[in-house]
Formats: sequence, C-alpha cells, structure tokens
Amino acid sequence: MKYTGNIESIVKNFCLRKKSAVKTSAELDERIVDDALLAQRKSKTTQSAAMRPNIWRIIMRARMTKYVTAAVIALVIIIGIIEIGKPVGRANVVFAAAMDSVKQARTFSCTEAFDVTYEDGGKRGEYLLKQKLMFKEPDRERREQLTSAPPWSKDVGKVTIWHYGKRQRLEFRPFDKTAEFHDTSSDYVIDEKTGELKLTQLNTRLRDHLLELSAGAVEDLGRTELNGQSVRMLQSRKGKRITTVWVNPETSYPVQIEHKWTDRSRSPMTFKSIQIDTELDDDLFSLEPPDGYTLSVHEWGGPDYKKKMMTKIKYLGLWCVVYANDNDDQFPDDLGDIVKLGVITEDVLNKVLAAPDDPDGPPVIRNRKPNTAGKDWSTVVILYEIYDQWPEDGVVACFADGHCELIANQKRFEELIK
Amino acid sequence: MLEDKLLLLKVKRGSADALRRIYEKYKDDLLALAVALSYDRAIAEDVLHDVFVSFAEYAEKLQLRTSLKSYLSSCVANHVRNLNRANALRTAQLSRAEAVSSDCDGPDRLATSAELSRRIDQAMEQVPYEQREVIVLHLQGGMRFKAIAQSQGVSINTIQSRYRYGLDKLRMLLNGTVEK
Repeated sequence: MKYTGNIESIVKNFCLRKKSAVKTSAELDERIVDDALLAQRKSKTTQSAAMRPNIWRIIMRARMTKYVTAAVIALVIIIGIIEIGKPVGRANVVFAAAMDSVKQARTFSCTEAFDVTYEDGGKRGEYLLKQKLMFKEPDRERREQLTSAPPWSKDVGKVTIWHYGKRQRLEFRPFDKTAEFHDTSSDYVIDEKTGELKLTQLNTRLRDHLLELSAGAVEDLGRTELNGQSVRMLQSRKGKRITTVWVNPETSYPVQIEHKWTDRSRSPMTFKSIQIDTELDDDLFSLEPPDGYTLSVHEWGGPDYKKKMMTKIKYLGLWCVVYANDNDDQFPDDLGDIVKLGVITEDVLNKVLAAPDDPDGPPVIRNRKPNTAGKDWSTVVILYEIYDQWPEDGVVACFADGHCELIANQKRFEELIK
Repeated sequence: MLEDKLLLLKVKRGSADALRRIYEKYKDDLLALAVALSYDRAIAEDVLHDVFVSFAEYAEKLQLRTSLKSYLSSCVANHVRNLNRANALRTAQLSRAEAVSSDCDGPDRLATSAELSRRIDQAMEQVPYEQREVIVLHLQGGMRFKAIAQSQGVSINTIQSRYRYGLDKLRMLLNGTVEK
C-alpha cells in the first residue's frame, strides 16, 4: 500500500494527539514554579540602579498650551538657571543646614502651588496649579494633580508614577477609573549642559533648586507657628525675589518654602508640606493600577531613531515657544536667536541640531518661521526634520503650541509647510 | 494576546501570581513541544524548567515582538537545539517518547491510529533536526513561519524550505515504510 494522504494534515493530527498526551506532573510544577519565583525575586533585588528624569520631560508630557508651557519654562529659569553658581553670602547656619538636608534626602515630597495661565479653544484663563510631588531614590517618582484648569477638570486627582529602572510609567485617573501603562524604553531627554541625548531618569532638580536658594543674604525672622507647629522663619533676598523658608528647629529640615517678587509681576510660588527622608511606602510607587480601573497598555511603536528626533525637536520647539512668548508671538527667524535667550549655548544648539547618530554632524532640523496670525497654533509647523527623499517612517515636526508629531503622510506634511 | 501582554507586564512588575498563571497556561504545550523535539521526557522537563526560570529572571528586560506563546516556544526550541549541539541528547529511542493517546477512538481506529503514529514517530526521528523543528513548531506549536524565522534569525524562505523538505522526507519515509 502506497501512502497517499495529505501528509501535512496527517502529521498535524499526529502532533496534536501527542501534544494532548503530555502533561506535567505536580512535582515538576512545584519545582519549576519555586525556582522561577526565586529567580524573579533575585532579579528584582539585583536590578540596575535607575536613571533620572528631567524637567523638560515633565514639561513636554503635560497637556499645556503655549502659555502654560512657557510659564513652566519661565519658572524653571527663575528657580534654576539664574541661581546656579551663586555663592552663599553670610549664610545662616540653620538655613544652610536646612538646605543641606534637602540635598541629602533619599526621599522627598512636597506640594507645590503656583499660578499658571492656560488657553483652550481661544479662551484664556488662570488657575492655581497644585500638585503633590514625591520621589524615592534611586528611581521612583510620583506626581498627583490636585487642581486643574476648568476645561480639564477630569484630570483632578490624576496620579502618574514613574519607575525609571524598569522604564515604565503608570497613569491613573479617578474621574473615569482609567489607567494607562506606558513602556518608556524609548523616552529620551536632552542633557542641557552638553546637548546630548540620554535616557530619562529621576528628576531631583527641585531638591537641588531648593538648595540653591541658600544663595544671597539670610535673615533670621525668629520663631513662629505654621499649621500648629513651632518653626523658625528664615528669609533670603535676591534682586526682586524674596524667599522665605520655614524650618523645623528640631530637625533643621525645611517644611515650607515660598518665593515672592517685590514688583508683583510674578505670582508667588510655594512648596508646602515638605518632607525629607521620611518613610515613603513602596505602595505609593506601585505600578499596579488600583482595583476597578480599566487598564490600557501603550508602547512607542515607531523606530527608536524617530523618538530621538522627536526629543531633539521638542527641546528646541519649547525654546522657540518661549522666544515667541517674549517677542509678541513672533517665532525666531533663526535658531541662533534662542541662544540669545541665554538658556542654551551655541555648542548645545549645534549638538541638538545634529542627527542622533552623528552628534558632530550637520544640522538635520530646519527652522520655519510661521505666520501664526489667526491660526490655531497646534496646526502650525515651526520645526521639522530635514529629508532628501520622503522617509518610510515619516517626518518629525514640532508645532507652535509645543507639541510634536511623527507625520507619516507626505501630502499632509507638504500641506502643513506650504 | 492582550491577556498575555498584561500578564507579562505584571511579571515585569514582580507579580508572582502572573508568573504562575503564565506557567499554568503554557506548561503542557511547552513540555509537549520539548518532548517532540528531544524525544526524551527527562530532558524535556529540564528544558521546561530552564526556560521558565530564565524567563522569570529576565522578564523585566523582555521586549516581545511576537506572542508570548511564540516566544516561549522559541525558547524551548532553542534550548533543545543547544542541547542537541552539545550532544546532550541521547540517541532517540522511540520507546522513550510519550505514548500516543488515542483513548478517545474506537478499538479499530485505535489500532490503525496507533500503528500510523508509530510509523510517523519513526519517520519523524529520521527527518533532519532543523526540518523536524520547523514542522513541530508550526504544526504542534502553532507558530507562524515568520515567527519561527525571527526566533532563529534566518529568513522566512529558509524556514519554509525546511518545512517543505521535512514533509517531503516524511512522505518518502512513510511510503517506504508501508511498502516494506
């Protein structure tokens, strides 16, 4: 007899029958599960120390209009760059100790509050932004949004947790009980000193900014009460800015810090309920959504190169937005103009303009000064990736409201830059 | 697929329950795969053990491009292949292979089916390993050619050729056997 059947289906049936006959034993299950769990625990305890985020990432991530974005950037400039490198004058020992304790903190939490403006559909408004920030070194961060602009009131209570070691982020929103889980393997940031790309990492700059407040004269205003607690009040002045620090006399830790400006051109900014080196439960940084939440999973689906380009273009785009905010909504004629803002050096600019895989090479990002009059800024391209032939993955572009897109459709892109 | 993605995410976050659930879900299929590739129950159990322990250890860094099942099946196949290369596999003995279960069939069919299975088993053993591996991964493991190609780092054409040559060889061997 010659075998003539469909060999594929015969073999498939044979394989499936064999498959159904094989079962693991209880002993084998126990051995494997025990060893696997042990390996899992071991892996967790030896996982690599983490990376840190950057203020830019926070700004870029937020849903903000050009004004809000600019306001946040301005604050960064105010409390950060202007302060850097200033020596302590006749610094009060207690003040210095308090600031030093901030620098030493392995955990940090506070509630920050400041006024921001927003724009929604041509409507502008202002509200007090309040958010609770906390981090646990080396790689955990949590941010809870306590207030919101009226159009986005659904975001009140929204919590975002970063685990930089695992390259993961969880966001959950109590309003509609939704949770988003993000893979952040391709989240990059620009090193502000060198212009180089690096992976996002835990942002401890707020803590560092607070330390930098030790610059300038310090005045001891004596003891007072804050929320029923006896504290010592210290003050420092720098130009038009007055910084007041309330210090716990027992621990020398600051419990509240406030910035005010004498010309009232800027709103006060406060950091309340500061807690340093207190026990922060790991559950606060859990990447497990609360019970009852609908979880969705998000991963960057595009090429890594495009994510790097997006980071570069977004970085420059935000400085362009700041420039426009300070120049009657006029965007820079040339990217060299943002160097004049004093926030970025020419070397850094050149590095950012170069291709991710050729940091010393020629620029691959083109500036476009748009006419924004009467237009929706979210549709106006200000920067885009230079190309010879339309790339298969599309082109990265930054818009006048600061957001970036990877545009896959060539016609749409050409329409946008007409 | 989505369930697997969530389970994997939970494993990445250190969930022991999720790891157990993945094991429970795929243990029998993977063991059967390992048995089919190695022809040795003891080796197959060791392979299943090593694959899961390794999965638990490195899950945090895992970036899946295929389904979790395909990934684990590929791990099993790679592991068996490595053992094969290291001459760790003893000469296959059909008697060691898992008995074919046909208890759902009637007596007549059982006899026919058992005989056919024995012949296919014998024939499979004679098919070159690379070809047998593709046949088992595709027909038993349910893996697509593309996924097999990705896991082995070869082109899909190579995988399809191995599959075709493997089936041709099987057909030839089965006919030869029956003709005897």
